[in-house]
Amino acid sequence: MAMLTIDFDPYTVVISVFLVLIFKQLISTIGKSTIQEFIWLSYIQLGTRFNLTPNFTQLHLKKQELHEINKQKRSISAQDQYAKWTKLNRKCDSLTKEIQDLNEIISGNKVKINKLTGLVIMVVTTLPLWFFRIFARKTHLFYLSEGVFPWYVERLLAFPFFPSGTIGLTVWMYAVNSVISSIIFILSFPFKHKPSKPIKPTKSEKIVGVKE
Amino acid sequence: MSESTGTEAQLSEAEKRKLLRERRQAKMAKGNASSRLNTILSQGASVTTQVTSVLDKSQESTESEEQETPSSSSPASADTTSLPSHHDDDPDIQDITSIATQTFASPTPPIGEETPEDIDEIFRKVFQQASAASGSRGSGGIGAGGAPGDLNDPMAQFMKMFTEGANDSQSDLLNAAAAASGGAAADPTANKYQTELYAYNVYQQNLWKFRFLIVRYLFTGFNFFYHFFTIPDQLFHASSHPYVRGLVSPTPLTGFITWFFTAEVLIVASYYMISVKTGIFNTKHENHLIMKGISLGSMFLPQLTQIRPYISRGLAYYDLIGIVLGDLSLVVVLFGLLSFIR
Repeated sequence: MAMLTIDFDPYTVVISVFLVLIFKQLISTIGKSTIQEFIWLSYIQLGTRFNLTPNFTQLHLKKQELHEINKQKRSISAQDQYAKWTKLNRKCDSLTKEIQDLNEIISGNKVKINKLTGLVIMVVTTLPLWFFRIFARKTHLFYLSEGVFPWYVERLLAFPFFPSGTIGLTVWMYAVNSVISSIIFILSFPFKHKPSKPIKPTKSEKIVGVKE
Repeated sequence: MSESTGTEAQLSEAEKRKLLRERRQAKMAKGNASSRLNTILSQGASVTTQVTSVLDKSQESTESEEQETPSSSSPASADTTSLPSHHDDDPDIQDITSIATQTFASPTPPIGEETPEDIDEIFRKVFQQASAASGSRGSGGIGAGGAPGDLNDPMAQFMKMFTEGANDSQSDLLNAAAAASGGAAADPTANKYQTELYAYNVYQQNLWKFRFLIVRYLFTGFNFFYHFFTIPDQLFHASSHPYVRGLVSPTPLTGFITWFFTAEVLIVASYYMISVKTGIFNTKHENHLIMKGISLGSMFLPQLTQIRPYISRGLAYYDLIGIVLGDLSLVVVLFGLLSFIR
């Protein structure tokens, strides 16, 4: 079991865990699905702009072509130049169908993107914490000066098996989680909708409501 | 032609129906019902049928009755032949809509056709039955207080089984719930009011939490940094090195913790006072996982409802301890982040 511990610089663990927990709390506040949706939309936008895959290039070209044909179609009269208009219309229909097919193919990538996003979130937030829980579980992160806290508080902060006056990973993670969630609450609460106090319905209102 | 249409237009629906009925009755009075029936049945068929109409049969039977009792041939019987309306089964009401919309007071309506009952109304009935059962139990059993029919009511028995073993507080809870709803369960206005009130209470709880959090963090932060900068030789610092545990400070370091605990006592007391005074924290733990578990468990083990108030109180105290632990966490985080200095 002793082999499973690594001799880390304590302050590195302190800062790493602090940053990972900030990231984790932010993700849980924003919501995993929101982040996945945002990444998908960014992928579509960037993919179209920078032609990340051949599908995006094709889609871009087809959309341009459709735009040109639509422009031509609008410039001529359907009655006067019926043959030409019909030809353009047919082309337009076939292009629209092709664009739809390409869109479907691209949309099929959404599952892959969501999976990848979930994996990245897990790698960035959950795995490092488990890594530290396993390999830095015995690391003394920092020591408090003697006399700052009474012995019982020092004992409490040394939970579960550290010497008095020492802070370990468990307490550090609890403290960081508590502080970050409180700070997020302080920052987000003023933007919440304030409901007005409801007025209690009187008896007559009730009767009218029932009769209605 | 135009005259006839004009006349038809002048006739009302009731008059039309009356005319049709009279015409039909006059036709039937002529007899030959069997021949007309056979004509109808043999239309387009190669085989002619020979059936006797019920009308002819009834006529025959009346005739035979008349023959058997000639003394009974009275003007009344003559009236029956002259007034064939007494022979047919036509009801007086001819408007089909009145028949279609008629509701039958059947004791057992067909499945799926009974009037849909409001679910809140059902719950209200269940609550009433439960409170009635517990009330009657308190006054010497169901037989003593309740109606004799209650003994055979399976629903009452069922509710009795559930409420058995629970003390009066449970019945108080049920009554309170019924009183709180005050028949409002069936009232959508009251339901809306309850929902809005809940949202308002949650906001108020968060508002108080926000206010206290600001005060707590400001005070704890000030207390920490005051001692951090004023105590000499960096003695009010944490360090990654264990030697700090052996250092002896010439000045006492207890000032920080004294102020910390003083502030905590004041904050916790104020929080408790406000929660008792406003009552907005009473429903705070209703959605707690433990409370939900107890609610679920009480369906199988009614005794669990007895410990419900204690759990609720315990959660309220946990809130108070949470305030102290939260502030202590802030101090630990500040010490930890600044531990690189030494």
